[in-house]
Amino acid sequence: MTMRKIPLETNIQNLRIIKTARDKNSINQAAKSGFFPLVKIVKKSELISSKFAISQHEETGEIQVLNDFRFGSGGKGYKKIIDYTSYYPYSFPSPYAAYLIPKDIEIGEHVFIEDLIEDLVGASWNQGDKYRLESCEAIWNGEDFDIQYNPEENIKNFMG
Amino acid sequence: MFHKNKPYLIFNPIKKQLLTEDGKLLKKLNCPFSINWEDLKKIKSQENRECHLCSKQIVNSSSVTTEELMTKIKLNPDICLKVDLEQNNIRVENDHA
Repeated sequence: MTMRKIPLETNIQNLRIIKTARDKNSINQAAKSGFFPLVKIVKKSELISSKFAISQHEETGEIQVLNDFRFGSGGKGYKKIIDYTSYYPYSFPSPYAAYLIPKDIEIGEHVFIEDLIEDLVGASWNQGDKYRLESCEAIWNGEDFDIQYNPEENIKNFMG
Repeated sequence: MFHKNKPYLIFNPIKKQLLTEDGKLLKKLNCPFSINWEDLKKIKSQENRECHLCSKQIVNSSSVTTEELMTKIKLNPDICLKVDLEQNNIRVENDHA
């Protein structure tokens, strides 16, 4: 992983998109279609976490899942029965995944990885939660991608 | 400050979905690029900013009321929004279904 080397003026939308396959069948299907699957272990980062608490209605027994400190204990009649607890909020179909490398990729080619396998922090919240970076630019070095990621950049917003 | 007695929207940061208070999907924030709001060009006399990647105007969802935001999305489902988890008209809810 390296700090961003791609100039800011690069038109990201014109970069080749690298797809990710997240199960055996998709990986083998891509291989049959001419891609080379660069297989990696899906590793959870300890930096990425969210939090939850559970409130339960004292009469009906119904529960509410709370993820936001600002929401208190969940409303009238609800009592917090599990206090805020950190957890890893993502799940994946397999413990491995593969970037599908096109046969004609060139060393030094700038690409856009649509579904990152690496677990990097993409956004953070002042309540302590940290969320995954989903997509990223990268440069092919002949064996792997140098992910163009700046861990110093603290993004707090979502767009789209 | 979050006003839980005022109408608010729900944002799911795991699925990047913006929902109504009663859980109806309004919009998925599907921009794949990691863009810092502070780096975007301000648009004169407006709270919104211009994206240098696709030249679209990005609406700051904290600067409009919940009702205004719902109307804007209804009129233009492709509208580009900025959601900040700290803004006071958003309640964060992860998906546990």
